[in-house]
Formats: sequence, C-alpha cells, structure tokens
Amino acid sequence: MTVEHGSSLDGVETTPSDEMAPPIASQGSGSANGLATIKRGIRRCLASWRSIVATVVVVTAMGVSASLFFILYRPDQQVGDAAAHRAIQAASDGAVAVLSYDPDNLDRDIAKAKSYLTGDFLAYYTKFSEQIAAIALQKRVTETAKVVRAAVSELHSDSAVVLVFINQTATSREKPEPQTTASIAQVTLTKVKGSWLISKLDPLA
Amino acid sequence: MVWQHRTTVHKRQLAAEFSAAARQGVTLLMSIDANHAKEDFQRIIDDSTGDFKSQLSAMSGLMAKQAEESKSSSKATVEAVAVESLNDNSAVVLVAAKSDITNADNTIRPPVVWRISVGITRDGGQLKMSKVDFLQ
Repeated sequence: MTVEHGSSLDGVETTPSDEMAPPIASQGSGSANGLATIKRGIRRCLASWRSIVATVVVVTAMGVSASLFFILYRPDQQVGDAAAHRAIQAASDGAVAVLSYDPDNLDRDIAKAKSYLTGDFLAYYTKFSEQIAAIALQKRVTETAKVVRAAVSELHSDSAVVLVFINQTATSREKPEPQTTASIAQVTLTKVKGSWLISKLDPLA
Repeated sequence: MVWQHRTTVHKRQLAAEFSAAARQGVTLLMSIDANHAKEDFQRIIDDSTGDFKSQLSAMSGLMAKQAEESKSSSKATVEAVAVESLNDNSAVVLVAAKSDITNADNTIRPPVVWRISVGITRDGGQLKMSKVDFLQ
C-alpha cells in the first residue's frame, strides 16, 4: 500500500513538469491553459483521493481487527478453555497446599500454602496457620489432601469460582491409622498480576 | 476471531443450560417424600434417559415402597454446580448437594453433603440425567 501511495504521488509531481515544457507553444489560448489547469487539478485530486481511500481502508481494517482483538478475542481468551484449565489448576494446587501439612515441615508447608493465597483469605490463613502448626506439632498430625474432581462454576476475566472435591487423609500420634474424609471446597480465585490466587475457600462439607 | 467469539458465547449458553438441568435433576433425585414416593420416582424417571432410566425404572417400585414404609422424607438443596466437560449434546456436571432427612418421628437427621457427578444428555428437546455417581 505504501509503495502504491508513493508512486501515485510521484505521478502527480511528474505530470505537471511534463506539461510545463510545452506552455510556450500553447501560450496563445488562455482557455486551453485554464482547462489544462482544471484537468491537472482533477488528476491531482483523483491521485490523492486514491491514496486517501487506500489509507482509510488500511486504517479502518487495522482499527476493526484491533477492536475485534480487544473487544472479542482477548476477553474470550480470558474465559476460554485454557483459562479455565489454569483456574482449575490454581484452585486444586492451592486447596491441596492449604489442607496438607506434616509436623516436620510446617514452616515450608505453610509458606507454600501462602504462595497460593491473596487478600482476606491470606490474612485469615496467616492468623489461623499458627494454631494449626501448634496442634500439628503437639499431636503430630499429618494431613494429606488429594483432589478427586474439580470443575469451573464461574469464569470471568479477573475472577473465578472452582468446585473442588477433595479427599483428606489424616494421621496423628493418637490415631496412627490413616483416616480419610470426603470434603468439598468452593474456591474463589482472583487474578493478581496475570495469575490466579485463592481469595476465598468455603468448605461445603 | 468472530467465529471464536461465537463459539465462546455458545459454550457459555450450553454450560448454563447443562448446569440448570443438573441442578434440577439432582434436586428431584434426592427429594423423596414418603407420602408420595411413587410420584416422586416417576418424576425422576421422566427426567432421566438411557441406561440410568432403565435401571431406575426397574428399581423404582421397590425404592418407592421402601420410602413409603420408612416414612422418612428427604429434601435436597444444591449448594454448587460446575460443568466438568461438555459438547452440544451431553455434559458431565459436578454437583454438591445437601440432603435434609426427616425421620418418621419427625426428628431431623444432621444434614449430609454429597459429591455427585451427573451425566446430562439431550433427549429429544430436553436435557435429562443419563448417569449419576455419588463420589466417595
């Protein structure tokens, strides 16, 4: 498009210089000269119109694709299958991290869990984790969580709700035989700097 | 991009449709009133399709009788639904549902929350339950 644009400009500039050469010969008729000027003007207009139209078409096309990208494609991508998969992964990994700990690695386990959390739930967990740690140490409680099934309930560009079915297995000094309980977590995620973090974790069972 | 957008919008509509069907199906399935158990089971059968429907049809007589004799009724509340997978004609939906059971002597048992995986299939114009798994 740019090449065409340049060449048509050249055309405009060369045409007058070509017609400038014979004016002495046709100097006699003033009306002919006037007609030539009008013709030249029209031609120049046509030439520049062509480039204006071309430019408008290109700019409009770019504008339309850009708006499609920002209005349709990007939001769609943010709620598409890949985004859903990432939300499920974050909710599952985060819920497992929050519900799993072993008394010999409490600091590591709690730090790991915190890395999946944000906002009020991070504050709540930070406070609550001290109590968990105290009990886990005292009674030698080991908790291991495993995700059975998980799926998306709601998915928006910056928030999501994931339903997670979890099996929790606990052992302690008093009850060394592993005890498994079935639980359900409704996990609310918030997008922080492009990645999903848990902002709420509601146990349903 | 426009085509992809249409697919996204279409999938959202499908997800909403299948979620609503799973919600309704599970509520029917887990709400049995001892006073009209037979009708309740018939409603569940009407809302089912495929193998699940045949199994249910075969067992519903016995189950209805048991429910009537036990004189206990259950009422379900769906707590959450999430679509695990879907296409135009079928979906797998995860459901968390609470059941409140009232005994014959009017005492209420502590509520139990169930983890259920429901298969929903389009049968004619309607979305019906084609598979129900209570996950342990």
